[in-house]
Amino acid sequence: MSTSQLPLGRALAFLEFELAGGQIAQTNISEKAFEDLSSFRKRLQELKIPATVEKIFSDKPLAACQTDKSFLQGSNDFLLAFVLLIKPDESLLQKYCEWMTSHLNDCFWCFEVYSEVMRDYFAQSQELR
Amino acid sequence: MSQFSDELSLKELLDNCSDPRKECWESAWRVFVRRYKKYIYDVLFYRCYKYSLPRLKLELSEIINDLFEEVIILLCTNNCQALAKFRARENEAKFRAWLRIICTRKADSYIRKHYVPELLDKELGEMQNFLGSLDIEYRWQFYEDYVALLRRNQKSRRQNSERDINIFNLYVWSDFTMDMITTTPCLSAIGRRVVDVVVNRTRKFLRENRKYSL
Repeated sequence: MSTSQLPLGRALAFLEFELAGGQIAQTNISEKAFEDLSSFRKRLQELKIPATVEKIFSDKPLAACQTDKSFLQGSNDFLLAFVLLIKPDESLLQKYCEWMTSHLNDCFWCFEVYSEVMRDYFAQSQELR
Repeated sequence: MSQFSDELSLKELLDNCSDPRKECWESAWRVFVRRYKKYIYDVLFYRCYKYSLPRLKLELSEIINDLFEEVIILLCTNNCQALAKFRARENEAKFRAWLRIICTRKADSYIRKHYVPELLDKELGEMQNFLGSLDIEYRWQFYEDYVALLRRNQKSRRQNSERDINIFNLYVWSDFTMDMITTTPCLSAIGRRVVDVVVNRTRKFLRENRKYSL
């Protein structure tokens, strides 16, 4: 899913932790992973512009994705925005969850990607607690 | 060249096997079976063996014999239409690859029909083991079939139908624990009890509709 050393799911957990006031020290993760986290953090800042988020969500697919081009496989931005920007906002979350849930049921490929990311996210979140 | 010879080229063999009107058709098929029987058996064996289904492993030899017959029947059906349509008659590797696909699909379809429904009566762990043993393409196919079946049931019944299907899929397909499920963004407002109810209700539905399920 990610070519960096830090899987997206773990990055989501770290960033969520930081957004809640936590601090990630370089000693907690490898140097390369720490660099990757900085890249994710920077990208998250860029995504905070409402127009950017709108664009990401307007590009979402209407049906199951093609085998070799699943929407979630090609887009860290979507899950970054979904978990860290949309999730805390209940009305937005409700609006996008309806699509997300249906799409994960329609599209096996996105479901597999989503499961992998959420698995890592959960494991890292547990560690950070 | 003698048409009863085992030294027929692939093209000669397939040309003779594809046309039941030919006098040497039966002889050509005897050559075909001699040449490809082991290959077909091997493909069927390895395809069936990889499924994590204990009863299947006990009955493997019988199953492979049945499947071999089904493959030959398929190749002969409708005046050997399938074989007649195969074009790359100069290319042994392509022919074997094509034959492999036929055997693989036959095996998958057979197992799906005869062995998978009983998984619904087993502990969820066995079903999860089975799903984990599938190769990605078959998992995909299976996943779509199950979702379609669950949607047929849910359509006119209740709200949260897509949510419930998603919960079941995360639990069974991705082997998520209840805590993991309730950590995901769209399911963070539901409790473990809801997950439990949804999973059990869905399994009950699949058991009751097993004959439609695959």
